[in-house]
Amino acid sequence: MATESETSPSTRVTISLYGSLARLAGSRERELEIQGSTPTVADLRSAIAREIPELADHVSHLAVGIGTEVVKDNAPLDPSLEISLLPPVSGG
Amino acid sequence: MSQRLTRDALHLNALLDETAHVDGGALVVFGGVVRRQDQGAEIQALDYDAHQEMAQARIRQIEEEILEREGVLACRIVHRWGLVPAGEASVLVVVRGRHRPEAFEAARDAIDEVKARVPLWKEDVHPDGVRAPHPPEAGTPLTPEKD
Repeated sequence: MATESETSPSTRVTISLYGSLARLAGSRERELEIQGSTPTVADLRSAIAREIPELADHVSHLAVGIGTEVVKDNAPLDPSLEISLLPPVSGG
Repeated sequence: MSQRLTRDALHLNALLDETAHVDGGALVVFGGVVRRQDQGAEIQALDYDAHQEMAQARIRQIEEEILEREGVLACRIVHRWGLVPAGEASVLVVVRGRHRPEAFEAARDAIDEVKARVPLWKEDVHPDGVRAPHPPEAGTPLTPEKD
């Protein structure tokens, strides 16, 4: 009998980590498997909280970028573009 | 210096040349400079991380918004990323306006918008090489740009 994980579609995404997040996670990029064929940014947040314990406490403070745009939680993830995790900024 | 984000030292004269305007009665320049001392600690440099493409796009957007204002004739912003030693500028804002009130206001708003909207993050580098990243909660949360 097939298990749920074998039958449910999933999407593999690579996320880029900026600022202090790269240091916290120990790398500039992380890969995540997200359930569903058309996952959203909200699904990404849930997956980060579940799969990347180093970032779990911070995930609610982070903005998510797709390409050059910061997007809302209902935006679909587009794995063909850069998906970035962006902590509060401190330029200037 | 047509780029908005650079690893190189900033050159004010290039921006002054680029923004020259015969009707600009007011020229305002703001420079953000890395302090040697910050909250009692000695700083050797700041190390800026950047989402480069997004940062360039957002700085251009801020310039365009400032330029739409009445009386503003030119606005150019350049920010550094990577290591910026103490005493050097990390950001320059140049605004030219017909008169000083709108030029002062535009320059102040431009740097405030940069600090709030451009994806840049800094880390203190102390003389002994120890780095002090700013915690993930510090700073201003990024939001989607206006529709």
